[in-house]
Amino acid sequence: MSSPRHVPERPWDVVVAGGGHAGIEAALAAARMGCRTLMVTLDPAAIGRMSCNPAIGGLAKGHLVREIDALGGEMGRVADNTGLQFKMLNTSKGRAVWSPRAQIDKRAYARRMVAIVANQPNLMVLKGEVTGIQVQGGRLTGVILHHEAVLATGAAVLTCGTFLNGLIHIGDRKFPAGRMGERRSEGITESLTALGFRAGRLKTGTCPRLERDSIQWDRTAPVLGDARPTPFSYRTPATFDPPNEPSFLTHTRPEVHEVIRAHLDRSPIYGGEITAVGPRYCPSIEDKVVRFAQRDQHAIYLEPEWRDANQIYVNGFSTSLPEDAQQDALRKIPGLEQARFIRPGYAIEYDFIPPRQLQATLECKDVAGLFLAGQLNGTSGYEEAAGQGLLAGVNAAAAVKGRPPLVLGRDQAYLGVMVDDLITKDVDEPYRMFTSRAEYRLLLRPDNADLRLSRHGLAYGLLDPADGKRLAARRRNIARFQQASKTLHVPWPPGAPDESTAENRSAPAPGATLARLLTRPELRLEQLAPLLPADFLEGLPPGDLFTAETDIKYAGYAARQRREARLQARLEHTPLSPHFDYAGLTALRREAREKLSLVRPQTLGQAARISGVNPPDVALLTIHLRRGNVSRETLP
Amino acid sequence: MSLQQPRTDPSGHAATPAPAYRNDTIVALATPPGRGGVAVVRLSGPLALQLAIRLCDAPLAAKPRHAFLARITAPSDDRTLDQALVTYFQAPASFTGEDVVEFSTHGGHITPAALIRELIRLDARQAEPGEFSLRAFLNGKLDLAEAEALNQLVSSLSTRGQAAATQNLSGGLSRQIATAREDLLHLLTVLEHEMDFSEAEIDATSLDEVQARITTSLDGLQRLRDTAPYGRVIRDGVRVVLAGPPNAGKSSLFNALIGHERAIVTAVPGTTRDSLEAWLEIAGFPVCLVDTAGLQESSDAVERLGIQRSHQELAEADIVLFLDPEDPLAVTTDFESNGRPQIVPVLSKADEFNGDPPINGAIPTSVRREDGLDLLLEQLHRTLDQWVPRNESAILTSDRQLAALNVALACLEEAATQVAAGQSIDIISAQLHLAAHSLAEIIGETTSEELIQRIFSEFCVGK
Repeated sequence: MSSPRHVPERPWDVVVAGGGHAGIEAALAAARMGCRTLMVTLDPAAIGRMSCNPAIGGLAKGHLVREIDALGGEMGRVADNTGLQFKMLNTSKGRAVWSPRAQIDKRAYARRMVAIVANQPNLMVLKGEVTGIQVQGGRLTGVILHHEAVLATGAAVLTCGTFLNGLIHIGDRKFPAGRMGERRSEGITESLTALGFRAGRLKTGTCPRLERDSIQWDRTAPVLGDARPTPFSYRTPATFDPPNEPSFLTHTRPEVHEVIRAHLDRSPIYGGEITAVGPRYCPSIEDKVVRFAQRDQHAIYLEPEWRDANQIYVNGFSTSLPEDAQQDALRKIPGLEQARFIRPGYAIEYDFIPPRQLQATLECKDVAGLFLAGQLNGTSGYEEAAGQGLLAGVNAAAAVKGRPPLVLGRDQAYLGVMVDDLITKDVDEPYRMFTSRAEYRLLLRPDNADLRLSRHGLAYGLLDPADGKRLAARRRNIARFQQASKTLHVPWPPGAPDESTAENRSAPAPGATLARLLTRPELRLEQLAPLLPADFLEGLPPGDLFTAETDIKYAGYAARQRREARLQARLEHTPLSPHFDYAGLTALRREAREKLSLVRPQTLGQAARISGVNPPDVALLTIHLRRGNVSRETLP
Repeated sequence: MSLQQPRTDPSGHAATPAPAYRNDTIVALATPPGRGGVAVVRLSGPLALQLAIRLCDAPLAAKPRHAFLARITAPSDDRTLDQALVTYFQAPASFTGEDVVEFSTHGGHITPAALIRELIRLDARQAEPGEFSLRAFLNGKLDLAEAEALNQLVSSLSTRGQAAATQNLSGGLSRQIATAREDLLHLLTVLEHEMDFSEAEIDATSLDEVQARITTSLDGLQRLRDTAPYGRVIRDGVRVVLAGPPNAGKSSLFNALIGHERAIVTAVPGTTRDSLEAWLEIAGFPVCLVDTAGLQESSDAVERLGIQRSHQELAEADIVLFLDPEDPLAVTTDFESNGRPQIVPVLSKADEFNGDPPINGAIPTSVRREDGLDLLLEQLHRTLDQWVPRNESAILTSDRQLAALNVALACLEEAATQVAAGQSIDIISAQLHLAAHSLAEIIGETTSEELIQRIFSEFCVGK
């Protein structure tokens, strides 16, 4: 660890505290925007370490990875390069909610990230600990290292994750730690609360890790990825040919559940030791057994943590039971009868800063220049962290450089939905991205993230001009296909339900245009391809065809959502002063008044989404504002 | 009580000074102006109690919701205005949710007007139309459907209108809409939950079940939509048009039905050249009885205009009483193609009829002998009863509600078609969201201030 005396005296543009998924994207983005950037991390060798499951993507999270990639972030590209198995999830439920996921070689992933950070111009890494921030007149002036040295900086992004006053629980044992085997960081919460920030406590957990050789693999079922894998990154070349290594499926049984029930009183959560709230959506096995008492089995996936790993991740078995109970329960699962622990599962409690104290840029409302991202904001998951890190890094750099901030709308990106949720809703459990959180989800498909977002990545210099050329070509290809499909008549495909017997009985057509046929849910371009002229699809990459086809299928519904978004836009574009006197607007219900005074939303749109603020409250605010405007205009 | 139509500018924004919210104290006469035993003056806002105490000597604050008999004195000149019953309703337990004081004064113009003048002098403001209700809405005392019901209650024309408005005011309509919306949201929760988890993690709901639940929602909402014609007639009245050849006795019957002579009745064909209207209540329905010019070829320009007018009336009629002293059945076929009006054939001047009475399907009446009017009223009764929905617990009474309900129904119908066609659930759930959103609008779960202002601007002063 460097001693404070050796810290260079020069001011930094952006200091990023933390080298996890949020910290990496924040630091890379700031450096790529030309800021002199410093990443401060407890352990430079742990940069990019995946602390929980060896996978990236998944439902809604896959959307986030695509969006991060479309903006010029690193997560998707590195996942493509270090994935062991790729699978598109949810393919039975509509292309807007398909989600890419990959099993990842954790070691290779971290190695690659360390190299990318090390090779990034404008970015330096300092082994150390940020313990506080220095603020003058409501503006951040520096970060404090090891409780003493101050590094002057234009902006700071805090991404401290589980390290913040972390407390690990295994049964009735508890000890302070960041991750298992790593120390926690201290001081930041205290520094922030001293400045008037509110802090809260959340918990999350992880499963035991088992020795590969102790598992009877023949009692489990191998599960492979897609035969034709889809990469995360738009920049990954078409020659993409990743490995397809199996993970292994087994199930819990009633006997397993009995053991868990018998030991519930020794679980820190059910015994009442942990009062922080855990994620409902990534529940521990104790949670599942209690909450879904009627089910007599739960799926367990055994996943190697890296290629040829001896260490096996037990997906679906997150637990904080005492070690002996974990072992008793696990050994009743088929294939795990002789399983040996590398380490037990555990729960961890940590501090977070309720993110309603942030603006849509992830900058603190009360401290200019201070940005928060990742698990510190109460989110759970690598992808959520990386997405916030990217946005916070861009906005920190933009603030230093005097450039406009990047704020994405709920109709533009899952990233926009996530940030807006964080700054308006109560985070009372770790926030995880879900497709159901996105009301305009028909617009936010995983396949069109680049079309939605890459212009921002290009504008901020996070993507290369070559990426811009590729994007332009993709747009041209899509437009070409759509244009041509409007005029190309195709014979009714053999085997498909006859259109003349369906709703069009009155006007039986000998064929229809390709565009028209593609709007039908049961018809796919793949089936129709043999009926098309030989050169029709020539020179069109499969990804471009997929997006073009999907655009046609979704066109009518997407138009409706766009219209809704436009209606909503008026609220989104009506600013609310941070000094607005809600307490004086006594016609607002008390709860609405209190919530609005607490959150101080930046726009009427944000106000409308605050829990505890009802639509009529928003109408009243609008009426109030409208009247204010009218009187300003009409009074001399 | 007059209804104010909101003026709109071309951009569609309400240009009328709809009651903008201000945090001040408002006052208005809450009963119809004019002669009457009692007039109620309503005062609402943060200063209500303070202002009231300066006018009357009652210990209002000591006992809210108690009617004090108090002397009202004008502070400006110490003149006694009236002896009145004064009641203080402490916020939030009041109509508006604010502090409210109600003065029940003696009726007439003078006393309440003087009281209101004194209150305004003290710092109250004359309330705008609908402002009390708007405050009640904004304070969560009413939802939009209830507010509309309130407006209809105070302007209702008939017993049935009043009953429906009372039902809706007590939340009948809101409850049904809210329940339908919750059913939809529940289905959406299930579908979105499935989208949020992979196929391996949870079992998908069968399409048959999704279809069944959409159908259930559709059925319930369609039944509600079926109440709209009833809601319209009890709101706007049933137009019963008297038609027939000249000198068939339309005006005589018109007068007999409304109970006094209003139309000029002569034996000269074509005497009635313009339509006459009169309101009466039949079977609890507000009925607008319309007398028209006889239908015939005419060379008289004025009469021709009258006849033209008659055709117009027929087109707008809900029920046509077709009068003919000889063969009322023959002519009715001319109208039936038109569809909407129900035709009731009436054999008029039955006392002069030479054929073989009775004529099947026509009601013989004789105004001169006061014969057959009860039969005719019975028939009208039966015809009107067809409008009464089986379940009267919720009635759609405004065009706004109907329009929103139609949007919801269209979305649901489309969703049902999509499920059948095998559409993916991301798209189906988007349709269901739109439907739920439209239902929310009916009960005012909306952030649209135009919508809210439009509704309240139709109110009269004092409400």
